[in-house]
Amino acid sequence: MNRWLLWMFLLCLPGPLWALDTEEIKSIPETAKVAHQYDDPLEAVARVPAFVTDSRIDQLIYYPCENCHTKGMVAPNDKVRTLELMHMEINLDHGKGRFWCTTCHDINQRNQLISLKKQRISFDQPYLLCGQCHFARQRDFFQGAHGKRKDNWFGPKKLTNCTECHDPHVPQIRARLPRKEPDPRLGLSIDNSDKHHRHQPWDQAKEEHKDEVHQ
Amino acid sequence: MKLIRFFIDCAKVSLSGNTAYWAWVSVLLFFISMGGFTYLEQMRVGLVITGMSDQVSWGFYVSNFTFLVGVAAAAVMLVIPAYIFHNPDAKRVVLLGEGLAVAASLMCMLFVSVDLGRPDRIWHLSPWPGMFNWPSSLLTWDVIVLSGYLGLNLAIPGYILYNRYQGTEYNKKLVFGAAVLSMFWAISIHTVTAFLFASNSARPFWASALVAPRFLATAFCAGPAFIILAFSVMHKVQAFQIGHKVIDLLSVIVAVSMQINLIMLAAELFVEFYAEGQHSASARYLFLGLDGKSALVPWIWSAQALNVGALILLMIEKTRKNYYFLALACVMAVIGIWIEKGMGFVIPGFIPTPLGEVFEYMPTWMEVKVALGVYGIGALVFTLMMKPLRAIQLGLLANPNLDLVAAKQLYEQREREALEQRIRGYETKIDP
Amino acid sequence: MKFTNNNLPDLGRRKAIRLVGMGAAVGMGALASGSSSLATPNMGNVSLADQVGSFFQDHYKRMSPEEIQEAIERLERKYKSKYQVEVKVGDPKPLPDVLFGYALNISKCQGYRECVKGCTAENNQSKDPNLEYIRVLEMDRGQMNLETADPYYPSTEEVPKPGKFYLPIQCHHCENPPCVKACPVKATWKEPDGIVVIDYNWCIGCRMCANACPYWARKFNWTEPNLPVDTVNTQTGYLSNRPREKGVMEKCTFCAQRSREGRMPACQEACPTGARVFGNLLDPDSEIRYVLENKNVFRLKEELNTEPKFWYYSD
Repeated sequence: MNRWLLWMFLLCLPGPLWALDTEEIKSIPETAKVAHQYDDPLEAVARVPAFVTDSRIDQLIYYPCENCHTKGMVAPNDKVRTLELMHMEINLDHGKGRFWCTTCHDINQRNQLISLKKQRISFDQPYLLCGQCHFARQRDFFQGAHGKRKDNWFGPKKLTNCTECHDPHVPQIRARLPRKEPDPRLGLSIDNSDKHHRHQPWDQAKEEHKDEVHQ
Repeated sequence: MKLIRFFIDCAKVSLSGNTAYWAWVSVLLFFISMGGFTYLEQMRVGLVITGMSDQVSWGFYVSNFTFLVGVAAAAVMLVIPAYIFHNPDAKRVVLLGEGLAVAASLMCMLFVSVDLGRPDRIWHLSPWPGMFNWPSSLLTWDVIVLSGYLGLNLAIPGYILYNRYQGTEYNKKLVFGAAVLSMFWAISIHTVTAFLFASNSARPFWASALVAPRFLATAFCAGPAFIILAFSVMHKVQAFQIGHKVIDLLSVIVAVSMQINLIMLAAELFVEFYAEGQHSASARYLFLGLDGKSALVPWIWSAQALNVGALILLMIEKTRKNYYFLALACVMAVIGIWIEKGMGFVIPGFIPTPLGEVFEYMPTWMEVKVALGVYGIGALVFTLMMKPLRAIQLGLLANPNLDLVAAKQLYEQREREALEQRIRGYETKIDP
Repeated sequence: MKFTNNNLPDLGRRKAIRLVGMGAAVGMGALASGSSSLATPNMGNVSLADQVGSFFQDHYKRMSPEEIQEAIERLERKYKSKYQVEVKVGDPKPLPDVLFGYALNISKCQGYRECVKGCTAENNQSKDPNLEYIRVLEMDRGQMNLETADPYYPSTEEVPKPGKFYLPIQCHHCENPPCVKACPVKATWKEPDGIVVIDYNWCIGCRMCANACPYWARKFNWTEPNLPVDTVNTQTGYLSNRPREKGVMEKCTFCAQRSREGRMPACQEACPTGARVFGNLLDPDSEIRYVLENKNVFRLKEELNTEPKFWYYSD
């Protein structure tokens, strides 16, 4: 009897998880606009100047992800692990270890991204996903102070999507070689060897202190 | 008709002379030809033959222009005593001074012209048919004041000489009026040239209220010094009899102007270096060097040494009255100010650039050759003008059979009589 | 020494010697000039009629639409013969109710110099040595002293470098432009859309404007520009990126040939970091206005009251 009850209890345990995965995920229609529901990611877009972005889906190598992930080839696996068969090139350096694939990719609907509140987001709208944490950047992005406007400065507004510049898995912009240095006039040459750099106050203080130690 | 004959006669005198004269003309022609052909090359390939760059966009040409504006303005130091105070010694040589002003302002215009990237479009720089950004652009002011000054200095002596050539008396009131005008005009050419630089708030080294007064001080120092030297040479080759009183007067002017100049230099140095801000970077480059670059440092210190040396020689009466020391002092003052006001003023204004880059400038030989050509033209014009001037003044043109010695005696006698008449005039005024 | 003015006897020989002497002086001068040591620049084959036409060409603002059209055709013929390629010279006019402004995010700029590259590809500047409108300064962090800036940071070292930030500078298109004041022939002026332009056919090359500019934005053609055919941008504007000639000044025009058609300037397009924001200052909904109203912005050398329309901001 006790044993039977224990089994029942154990069986019920994943229940809430099950419910979360299947029923609570809302599919957001593109035009949805609910004034009071501030956690709706599309709400942010509804209240900013209209814009479009180039489709990202066309640029993704593996898209549609479902081809492998839900059509029975690979079973969902939420376990944090080292990927060995596919996606080995992804070196997740974002969130300082707090994230796993399924933080942003919907484990059930692989063609979609997912917010922390389990709302599905298109791969074409990564700014909705990034904006969850980077809300200040997101505001600047919508208004034009972050990211970049494409092609024209008036008329329909097309913005560069977050993922066009940032690799979402390694979002830091990396150092690289710059283009050619400026030239002098024809026939003249640059002598930049003795360029002085003013000492910073802390450098000066350090040097003065060194002298004191010597004495 | 008579005017044309006047010019033909003048030209005839200009084109006659002994072997030494023609040798001198040939030397000038050599420099003019060298400069001219170098300038043709510059016209063909552009200002790339100079040492100028986007960093230092004005160089040797504008430096010499700046210096020569001072020389041109200095004629006023003879005009004032001659026409306003009727000083007889100054009157005798004032035409020489004005001739020098003509040559110097001509050279100024040539130096600005050779500095243009598009000399073929120089006609754009006119109210018609060009487009004149007056009164906003200081270069248009410079065009006006320089050509006006050139015109005045051609007109006044021309009018006087033409009258003497005809044997008539010139209208004294007219000349007085023109002299007063040219007096202010002389100040204006230098002030405007100073403002040409000082108007650039982007260049803190130039954007100083002291630039114009300092320009005037250096002009009235280098200019009269240059005139003293020119007079000494002309006296030496017996072209002209120069009275020592004029030389004394001019040497005192040189001394006083040099004192004023050095006081202003000291004031500038104090402001630049006491609380040395970012705007003092050019002064630091000029006097001490910046970022390991110090091409102008030896030049500016030599200039100051020459200036101080000249001042000492001029302040001691014994050396000032000694013509060898005076000549030495004048050479020192001219070279010192040529450096200080030319390259020592124009170039550091560009260094560092408004973006903080220290990029040095060194004139190329081509640039120096063009400049020598311009100086050659100036010297040739001055030489060609001096010949008929002397001939007319001595009455040789009116009376070709006159002997030179006799002519000089006649001339001096006439001067003496004029002076005595003036003194008598004063006496009657005092004691009617 | 007897003064002689019209003594003519026995002058034949003497005169001859004098003439020979002076001729020799002139000849020696010619030799000493060392002329024609440099190669003849490629000027193209321009017909006499076109040469005369361009010599007498009037100031842009004084030309009638027909005269401008003629001038443009002359230019197109010249470019055709010089570069063996059809160059189209447009003349886009300023748009109504537009005042251009630029903002640059210095916390985004990484110093890649991509803007410089984009600019020189667009604007037909002289190549090798490159004439560049944009100068990217590498600055020490912790100060804002341009004198410590290094514009020559090498292309062999990765940027951004630690302890450095990057400050690109180009023409600031001042509302109160000192260059326009300084130009003696009105060859440069501020258009109604705020762009400061140059009539390259009117400029006399005196460089007054370059001296007046506090931002070192103006660049001079010290010799005939070297523009290889494969680098020619054939879509040009009369007051902006058409190929220039020697002896004239040029500078950034906010790519008037693009911006007046609604497009972004080449530097904005080339910037890989999105540090550059360009737009219409008169449009309260524009990105540039958002930046100016919501970010902490500054301008260079504001104490000179030139009122630049080029702002810097940081996140």
